[in-house]
Amino acid sequence: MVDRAATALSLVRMMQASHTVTLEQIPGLVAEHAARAGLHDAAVYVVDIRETVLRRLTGEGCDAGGGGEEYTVQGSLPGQAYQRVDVLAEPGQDGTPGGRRRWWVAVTDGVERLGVLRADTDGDDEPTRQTLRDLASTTALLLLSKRSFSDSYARLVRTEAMNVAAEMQWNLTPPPAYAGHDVTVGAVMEPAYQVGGDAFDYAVAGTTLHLSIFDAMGHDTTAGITANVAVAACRNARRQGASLAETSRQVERVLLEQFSTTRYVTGILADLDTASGRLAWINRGHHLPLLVRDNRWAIELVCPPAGPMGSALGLPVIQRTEQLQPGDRLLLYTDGLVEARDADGSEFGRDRFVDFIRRQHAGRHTLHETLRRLMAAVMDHHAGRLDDDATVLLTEWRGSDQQELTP
Amino acid sequence: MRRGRPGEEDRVSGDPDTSVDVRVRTTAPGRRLVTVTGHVDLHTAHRLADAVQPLVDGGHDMVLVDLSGVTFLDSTGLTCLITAHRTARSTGARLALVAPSPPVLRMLQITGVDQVIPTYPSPDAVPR
Repeated sequence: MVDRAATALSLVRMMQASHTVTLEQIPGLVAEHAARAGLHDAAVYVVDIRETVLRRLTGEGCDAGGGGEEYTVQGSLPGQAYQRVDVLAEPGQDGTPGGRRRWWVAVTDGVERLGVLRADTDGDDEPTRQTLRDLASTTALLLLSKRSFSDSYARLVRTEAMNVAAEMQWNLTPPPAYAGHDVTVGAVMEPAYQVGGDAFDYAVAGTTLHLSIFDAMGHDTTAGITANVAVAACRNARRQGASLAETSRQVERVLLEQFSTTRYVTGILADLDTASGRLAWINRGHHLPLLVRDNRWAIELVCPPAGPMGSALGLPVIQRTEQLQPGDRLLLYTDGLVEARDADGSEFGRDRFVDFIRRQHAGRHTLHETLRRLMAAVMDHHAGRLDDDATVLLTEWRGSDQQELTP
Repeated sequence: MRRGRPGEEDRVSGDPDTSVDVRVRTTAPGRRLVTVTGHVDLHTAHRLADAVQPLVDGGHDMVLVDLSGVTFLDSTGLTCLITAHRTARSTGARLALVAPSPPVLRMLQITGVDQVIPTYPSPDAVPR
């Protein structure tokens, strides 16, 4: 049996102790404080950037995962807990010392799934489950506070070597998941280890959720640099209060200063008022945003292209607006997603992309699990290797109809 | 945007799927027709630029680029067209696109380039 008051104190003590530890010390810290709360042999597993494997964080070796086992996200019980953002018990009680029950709990900060937690308990009542959730939630905060300056973490969550452009892009973009009161945002970017010029961005200011997607031409390190310049110029302009149109013109100016007209970036820049559901957007020569409504149809959000940023076509920048309905899903994406071809040259296609989003949503998957599955399907379609960057930024506006996003 | 597959450079000349053919002929005095056929990407776009750029640089009155046989055009290819358009604007030459194939037309429409470079269904439809 767990003592909830003792657990709360133990987790607070763990947070306090965490201020001066490194990522490598987290497994020990978690196990020690979990044991005081009646959760035995606790272990932390983190997911790789492509969300295919869960690797145990042991704190040993150059990747802090030395000597640790790993589980696949697809087809394992820990993977199930991860996919469903759930608390799952292993069947039977024979495998653990003392006939204890073994649990797997998704580790999330509310939306972003970082991995899973394993722990053994004597009981399996609701307070036990709640204690497991509390520990997982606290562990998420520990991981988030340490990972940004940990090379070990970066190594542990990679399954392949990364190119320089991808190294830039992963540091450029905000976390791939966000949820506020009225809205959830998720993003995926492939090929994760060889990204060229794709980037996405989002940011919150009051009730305004800014959303943007960029596709810089080329697929070399310069494409990555171009995308970085575009995102930085976009942030800089909008933080000074520029409108969407002005922001895109400022991005164009900065790109022209840096690259003359040799490099351009296409993109969609949008602002969603999360209080009213009013969406405003502009189109800089990019694929139009898609709106999936009632889980039944997809609407293309039309807006005349003002030419790619950095091409200096001199076209007028026109802003369009649309009133969203609660439950609407907004898709911003790059061409690599719909143009991924299989061995016979057939494209993954826009219709299949939209169908996938609709079908998975109907299957009650979370938005982030839907995106994970979408990218797995796109990669599968292309036999594991994309010719082009493929990025999706998916936003669900719920109005006041918030879903539960913790296990 | 799209990148070439490994070994693509080796196949540029041999593989019809990834090679490009660019031909220039004079159809009337001061009127050149550039016919592009095949796959225009990072590895082949320079052939398009090498053919078109001297024409718009050199004060020919009218340069038509027939894109009906282009199976694929990436951002590098599009940049060649934009650059040629910009040059033409400064030298006084006239640049027009002829019968872009569906993938090319889609690229022109998505980016808005179709609004700045005039496009015609056939060479004969281009005003004198």
